[in-house]
Amino acid sequence: MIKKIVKLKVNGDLCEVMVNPNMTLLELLREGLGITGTKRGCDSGECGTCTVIMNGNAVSSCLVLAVEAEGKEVITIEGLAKGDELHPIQKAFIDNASVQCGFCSPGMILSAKALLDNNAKPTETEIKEAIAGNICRCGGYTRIVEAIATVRDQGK
Amino acid sequence: MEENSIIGKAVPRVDAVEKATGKAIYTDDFKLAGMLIGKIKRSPHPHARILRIDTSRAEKLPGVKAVVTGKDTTGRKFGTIKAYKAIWDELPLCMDKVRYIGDEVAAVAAVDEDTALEALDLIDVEYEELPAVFDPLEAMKPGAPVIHEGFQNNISMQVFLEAGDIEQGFKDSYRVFEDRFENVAVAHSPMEPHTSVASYVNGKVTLWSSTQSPFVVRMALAHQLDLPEAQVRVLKMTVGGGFGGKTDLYALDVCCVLLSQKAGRPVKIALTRQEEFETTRTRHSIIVELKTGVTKDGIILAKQARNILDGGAYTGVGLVAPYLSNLFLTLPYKAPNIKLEATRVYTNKVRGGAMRGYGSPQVIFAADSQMDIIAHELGIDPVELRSRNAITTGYQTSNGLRITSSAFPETIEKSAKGIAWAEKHGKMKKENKGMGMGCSGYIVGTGVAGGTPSNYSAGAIIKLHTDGFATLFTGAVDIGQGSDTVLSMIAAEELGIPLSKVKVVAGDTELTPFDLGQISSRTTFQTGNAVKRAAAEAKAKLLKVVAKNFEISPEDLEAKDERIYVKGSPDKVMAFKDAVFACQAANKGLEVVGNGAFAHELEQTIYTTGRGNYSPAYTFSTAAAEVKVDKETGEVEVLKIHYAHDIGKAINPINVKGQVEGSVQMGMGYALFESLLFDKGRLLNPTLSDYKLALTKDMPEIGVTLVESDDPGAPFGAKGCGEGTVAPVAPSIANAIFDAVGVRIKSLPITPEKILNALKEKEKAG
Repeated sequence: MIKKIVKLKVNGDLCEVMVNPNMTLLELLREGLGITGTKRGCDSGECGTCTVIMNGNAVSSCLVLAVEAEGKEVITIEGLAKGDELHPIQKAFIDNASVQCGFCSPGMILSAKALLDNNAKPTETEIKEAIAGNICRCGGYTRIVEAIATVRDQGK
Repeated sequence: MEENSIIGKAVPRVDAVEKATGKAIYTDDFKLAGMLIGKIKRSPHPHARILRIDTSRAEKLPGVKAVVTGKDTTGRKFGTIKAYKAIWDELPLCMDKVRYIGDEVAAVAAVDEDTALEALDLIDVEYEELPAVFDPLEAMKPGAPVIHEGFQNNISMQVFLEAGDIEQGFKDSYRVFEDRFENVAVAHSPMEPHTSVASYVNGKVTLWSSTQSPFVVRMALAHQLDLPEAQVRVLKMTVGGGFGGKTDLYALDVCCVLLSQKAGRPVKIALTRQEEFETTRTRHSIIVELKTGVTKDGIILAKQARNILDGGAYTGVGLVAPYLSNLFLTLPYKAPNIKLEATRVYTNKVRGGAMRGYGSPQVIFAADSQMDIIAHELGIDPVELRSRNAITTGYQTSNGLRITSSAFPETIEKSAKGIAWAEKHGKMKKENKGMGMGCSGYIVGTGVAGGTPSNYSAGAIIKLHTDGFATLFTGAVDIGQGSDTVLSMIAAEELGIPLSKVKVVAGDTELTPFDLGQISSRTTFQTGNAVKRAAAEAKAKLLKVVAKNFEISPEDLEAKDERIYVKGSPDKVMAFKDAVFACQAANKGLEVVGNGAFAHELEQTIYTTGRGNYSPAYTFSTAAAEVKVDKETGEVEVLKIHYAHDIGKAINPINVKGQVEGSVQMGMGYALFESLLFDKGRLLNPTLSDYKLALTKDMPEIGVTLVESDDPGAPFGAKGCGEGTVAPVAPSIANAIFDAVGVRIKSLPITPEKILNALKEKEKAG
């Protein structure tokens, strides 16, 4: 296989990664860059644990080929907190007990961020739609929806 | 009662920040230098003899570092419960034959995933296909294909439970109800697939795993590898959900070790989502034939059941399932005369194992649907009928369960109130809306019978530090249910220090005391008691030294707010950290360590006789559901569930609510859409788009009431939550559907098709 160098921005840092043409963005992040907050749950875009934000939109990174990320700006869960200062969505997830096993949390938080970045005042239905592709098997979703609504109401 | 500082407060989980920031390390996130990727070659046949395995082409593929087959193993069979070694039936890699589609036949380790996958294709296995059997009733018939030699009629385990006089019970009954209920196998579907990393160095094995029971895995792994347990270290990483499916030792664990040994490098095997569905565990499907005799007032006099469990190809922890399927029919209602029979049958499919509520969701669906039938037939309000039969504090069931505390009647009352039962029940038929109730009882704080004392106990060690911190060593595993937080809260409360100053080391067989792991909703009760005792012992050591300093008795001292002070004289005080220092100084530097354990001894014969007190305490739950049924499409919308749970005492109420809400999600999926579909042993829907889990938009409005019965034997009165809370959801929905449109569906999941067919039948019958 002919390898290719992909240049992209991950959490604000310019990165150059050597990839196989069949490599996914998920693999680029986890194996190429060694940042593992983005989870691998199904490799087929069904569970939402690998959600990242690419050029402002929430995407399943297992469905994006690494070469497609050329020149793109990617935000992963590692890019949200500033040192010990958590992003308001992260804080709301923690305070509302929206985090249980935590495996869905990074993807869920990024889906929420993409929503709130594009729509500061989403309705409850819009919140539910935004995380419809993120499966949580531990909880009842209510705490996650509440956490996102809390951040919306804070207007941040 | 004196007010607690931490217990009962809704505090954030101790692991929430690392999880919300992506910093928590799950097993798949973990990398060792030189680590290889392992993959498993699996059987494409449901039942076949292995004639030949040729791995030579795979071995020659550049990048392949090891290939293993059954020949590379010790050939020792393994299982999950040591006391039942005689019926262990599993090999890490099949040697003579394969018994389901997905059975392990070989494994490879290579420099990367692509190479490992390519190598799998180069392994040549020749099979002789054998007749297979997929239905437990067929499998029990004479002449059915034999799945395991020596197990007559393919029965893997059969259990009888009798108490009282069943004949007399039925004779004395005003009415006897007989119904047959069915359900299907469903999948745990943890978001994190099973993953293990093994490193074999100089005869010592280390296994990092997504397991929920490191000590169970160590026991079986050491046995299988024929190594002393001390040479096998099993430790869990952050675990992304388990729900019972991560209890057993898996073939993938053994393969990982064998590959590491052969390659001389660490190896990781992470299951794909498809493998997660096809080759891990399911909730047993159980056919429940239930016969219940009642008085004119609806009081249960006799209960008889025949449970047929589809066991799949192997046993593992499934050994306990038949016993539990009987046990949960003796709760949550009084039944003086019982005759229960449960048979677990081998079939050529992925096996049944422990799954959230282990054995109860299936039989509670049956029993509580039948309660509704009885209520309807006798013209008694379903809430009233349940209250009349409810097990209360101090009751001993006919099979010997001692109920030390029960707030069951209150849970019935609170859930009915929460859903406005009195005002609305039976009055919404015009809108095709209805209400239903479901109830269950569950065990807390028990272990497994037989074996060493550690099998039915849990330990904890607490070490105090001179900077005022404490380290808690526990074998318990936080799989998302929140045990690290709950156990830390118990330690902090007992020591009188803040939660932030308790640090947890958990789930490492080399560092932490024994713990059976996350099964049976046992942790808060059993491990919690051990932690409380360990903390009390460490504290007693401090108090002794401080008492000497103040020239008073240790009984006159109290530890609170990071201080140890004389009761009634708050000015006579020593800081907690200074007390630790003083204690070390007084004992020639000896560290201040507390050691605690809690045991609930079980009769070794309990799984076969059914007799005895299985658990030190029992919890009770009631769900009340409101649904709307679309008579045109058969679709059910769950509008609201009000859930009341007898928690004993909520250590962390927000955590408990999360557990209950998760139970509603899983119970609702079980009721309405989850189903593993097989065709001749092949799973047809091994993906998360074809296997339907509840998503955000499916969820109803959920109300939760926690009822605190303050169990006398529990730590701070706290019993438990999580497992049994799944069970009442499905019958509450089924009963609500009946209330709404008058059709009784006795098989899960309740699909639109079943409802439409039943509506048609009903119409025909006029």
